[in-house]
Amino acid sequence: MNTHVTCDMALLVQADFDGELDAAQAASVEAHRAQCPVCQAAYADLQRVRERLRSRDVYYTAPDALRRSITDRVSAPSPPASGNRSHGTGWG
Amino acid sequence: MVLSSNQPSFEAAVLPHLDAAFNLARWLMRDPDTAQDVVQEAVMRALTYFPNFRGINPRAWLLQIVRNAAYASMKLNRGLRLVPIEELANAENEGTVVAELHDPAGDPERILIKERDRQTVGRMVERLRVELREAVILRELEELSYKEIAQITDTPIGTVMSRLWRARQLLAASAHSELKQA
Repeated sequence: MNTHVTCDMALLVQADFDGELDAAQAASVEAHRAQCPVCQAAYADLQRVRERLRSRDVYYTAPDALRRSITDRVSAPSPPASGNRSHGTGWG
Repeated sequence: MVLSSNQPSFEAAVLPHLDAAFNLARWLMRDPDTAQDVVQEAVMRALTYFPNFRGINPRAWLLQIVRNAAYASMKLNRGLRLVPIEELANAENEGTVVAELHDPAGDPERILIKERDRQTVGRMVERLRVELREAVILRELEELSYKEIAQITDTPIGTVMSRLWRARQLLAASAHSELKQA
């Protein structure tokens, strides 16, 4: 991913890489990429960055003490004090 | 707590996502202890909000709360937590000793190389601005969709896309310059 040269299609190439496009959009972006050296280089960089991040064990799992402490708190028999519930985020 | 019949219990909704919660908090705070505080705080908030939760995507819902708790904590500590570079480098070593002790099969040299790689990638991500860092962590490590990242970070999808692009450009560029130095 050359930081100086970008193509107008860059964000679409990225969206294709991330599996965010439908089949027709993806086909048209891939047809563009086949013709565009800038987008080919960008795609290769996206792959390299992903490979680095996902293969190097950079994921931090919850420490046992934290897990235990939270499990104990939420499994406690008395429910939490109510009130102030109207501020909740309701989306799911 | 009164639950409707199709509502999962709080434990069933939240406990499976504690790793994701800690991973996000750890990358946002760049410190293991404050990350734990943030997750504790977020779970307590989640407990309060749970009656309003509609049960569709508990992981994204919890991560949104973790992210808000982390930002609140950063705001609270602004000016107090300007961590010198050397301390950040030391903080990265946290957890590595355990990993080495629990890997009896690996030979020391390979473990060292693997650890150095991990630290390098980690340092590059830690150097990113927090908006870029959270986008790349949520996409690459949590494998969330643009829509989910937009909801968690309260940001338009277009902004998520440009932040992700920028973060990846910077990571790719620092990987390139590192290769040249090696």
